[in-house]
Amino acid sequence: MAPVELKGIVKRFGGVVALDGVDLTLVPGETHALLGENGAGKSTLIRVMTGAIVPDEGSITVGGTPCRFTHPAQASAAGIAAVYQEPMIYPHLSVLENIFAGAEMTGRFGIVRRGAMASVVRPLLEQLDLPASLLVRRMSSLSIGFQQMVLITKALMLNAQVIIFDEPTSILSQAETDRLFVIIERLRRDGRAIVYITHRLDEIRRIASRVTVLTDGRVSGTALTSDLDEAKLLTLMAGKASRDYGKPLRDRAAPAHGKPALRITGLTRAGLYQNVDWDVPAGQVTGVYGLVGSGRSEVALAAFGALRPERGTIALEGRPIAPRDPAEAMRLGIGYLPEDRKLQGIFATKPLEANLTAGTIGRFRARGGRLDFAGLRDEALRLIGHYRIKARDETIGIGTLSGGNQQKALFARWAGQSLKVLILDEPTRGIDIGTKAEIHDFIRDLAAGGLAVVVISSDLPEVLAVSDRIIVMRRGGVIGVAEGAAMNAEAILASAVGADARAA
Amino acid sequence: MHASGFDRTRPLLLAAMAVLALAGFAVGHPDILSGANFGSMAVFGVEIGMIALGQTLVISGGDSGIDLSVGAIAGLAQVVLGRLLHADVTWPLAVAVTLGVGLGLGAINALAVTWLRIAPIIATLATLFGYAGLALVLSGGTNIDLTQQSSWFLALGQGHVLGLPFQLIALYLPLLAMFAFLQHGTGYGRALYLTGTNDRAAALAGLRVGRLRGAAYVLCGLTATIAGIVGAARLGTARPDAGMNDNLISIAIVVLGGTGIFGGTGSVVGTALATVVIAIVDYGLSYNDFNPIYQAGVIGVILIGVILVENPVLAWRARRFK
Repeated sequence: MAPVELKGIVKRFGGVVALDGVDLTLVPGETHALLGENGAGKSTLIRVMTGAIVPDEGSITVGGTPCRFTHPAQASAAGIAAVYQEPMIYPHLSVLENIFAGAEMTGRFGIVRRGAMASVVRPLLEQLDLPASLLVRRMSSLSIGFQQMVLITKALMLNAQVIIFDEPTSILSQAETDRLFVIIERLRRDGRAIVYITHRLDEIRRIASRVTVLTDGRVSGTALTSDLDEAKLLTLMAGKASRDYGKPLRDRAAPAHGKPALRITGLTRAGLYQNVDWDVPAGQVTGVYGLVGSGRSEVALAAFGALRPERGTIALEGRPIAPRDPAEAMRLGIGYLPEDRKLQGIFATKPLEANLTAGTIGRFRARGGRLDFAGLRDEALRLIGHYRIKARDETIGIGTLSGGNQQKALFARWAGQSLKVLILDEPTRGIDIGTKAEIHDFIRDLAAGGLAVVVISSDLPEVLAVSDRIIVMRRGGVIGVAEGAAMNAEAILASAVGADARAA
Repeated sequence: MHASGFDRTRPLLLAAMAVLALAGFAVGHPDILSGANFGSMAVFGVEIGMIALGQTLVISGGDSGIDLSVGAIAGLAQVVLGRLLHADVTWPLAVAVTLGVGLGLGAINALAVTWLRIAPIIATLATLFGYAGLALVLSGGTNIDLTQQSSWFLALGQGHVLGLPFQLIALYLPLLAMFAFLQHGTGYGRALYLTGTNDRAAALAGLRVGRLRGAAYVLCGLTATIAGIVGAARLGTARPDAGMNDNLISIAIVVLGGTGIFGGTGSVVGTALATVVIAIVDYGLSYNDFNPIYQAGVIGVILIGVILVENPVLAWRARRFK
């Protein structure tokens, strides 16, 4: 497969010049990073390459033949595919149907041949280390990380020779990112040309061999990554700072074992998790680290009464429990902050006060069955003050707050209750660093106050920063527990991604 | 934004509409503004108005909540009441048993939706046919005459208090007050709004989503039953097909009253105002000798009209308060 060349691409939207004569050469077997600030023209350039928009000037050649894409189907026929940041999917269709959407294999009378399609995809899934059972899952039931994997599978199915990744990691956790990088590297070694768009410097060093920087619709520089040092890259990026992942690890001695608050033994639900043991002591933070699909949230949901296990026991302070719904789990003293803020957490159109008190409405009863509105308001103001939620007042709609403040409000909803065990699922996903640090301090405070806290996260630095012990999960099972000096980033990461087992 | 999801735009619009409609009809027939005519309008609006109160709760609970069986419940309640009265059961007991049956019919809907997890539109469509069929079987397909019953019973639909219809003063307005309190003043109301807004978040916050929604269907069955009893007393007849028009009109009134079809918003106060509008328009049309077949169409025109007027108003307000 010969290189793809873009020459002198110009695209204007009305009076605005989005691309002003961009040249780009993509070589098979090379990962080419595309850098640039918001509005520099990265997205427009991708849309030109994938045929979503037609450039005003310039030429695209694939293997020496000039191509003019006027429709995305032409670009994908020429072997160019894109994996977007938030995958565009058909949420109600199965994974198989999504992969073949628009390219269904049909037999006589146009009847779709599912079996044939599945047998084409299965080896591709294997290449990506994805289970074949994924094919029948509904797309909407998958996390974003998995949805991206499905799109990569689709690109492989179409035999794409150029795969464009548009800021794929911006909403992925560190661990999901690591897995994605392993796969991108494999695709590159197979001789595909990879375009990787990002604004994270640290990623470029890890993955790309060539960098092109876009500024205001123009290429401001192209270089081999090996020729660039940090300073040069930073200059090229015009001062874009990368996120600091190198948070110093706390020096902590292995903690004395507190009273066991929550103990999960041999918990199993076929297809989700098997023989899971969790030991969660009071007064400590227990980290649970694992990738998407490791079963970590599902085990938590079982303890919270939201997803019934098939086998195994859950014991709270030594007594076996089997909560049938979250309400019952809460009465027993178990809380759970869900992973997906928008879908499972907030009541977007409702006031901050109603969001903060949603779990405790029952306690605010005045005479005659009337809600104690003054009490609700006071409680809301207390939580807003204590957790430093930035909002005009408690009546403002929670949907109008920043993501960080929404997350703080959800955190406060749980932290403000008197519980025995609080499970926090991705407590800081997608929020700014400052708020993240604040929430980490709140988590430590809760544990110091005697609560048994579980922090589920795929952000390794986060787990290392807040936990006293770390449970590592992979593919529905616990594969290790790290304490004290054993809480070491490389070892935990390696076991979570299965690098030690695969030994490439 | 109010904690309960109450928005003032729609109620004001409806109040303006009611006045406008009344003024319009008064141009043709000034005597429509008499006390007797207002009384008749109230009698016309009270029964469907009660049903719409329960329907408001069901729809605001979200998850495509809807009760298509309300009219069938009203009809079946009438037949049960008629049979009991003809079996010489004293009328207070007969009314009490009928109310109990109505709660049971609502509970069947509740179980079908929350326990068997059948989509509300399908579950209540099925019970609509079931209840209507049962009413025909129990009545033998004929109307049951109740004109010879106790005048105390008939007063439920024909009496007057302070010169106004009994069912308006003693039944509808107290019910409206109770439902408004339930929706805006109690923990149940708050929890139902949250459930209607985001049921996954509600369940994970520890709210018993199924029970909250189920209770709404039970209450809806109750209001439909009360409406059926009042209707039977008003006409002195128990008819198996008494409420067949009410199934869809009650939904139209709820939507007209500003309750979002996706749940989590709206108020019975809006529903009450929408009932007033519909009552005035319906009564006014027949008072002005329009062919009754136009009346159904008029409800549709009003529904669309309100939306068309409201959107620019909301946009203007959004600009003003930005």
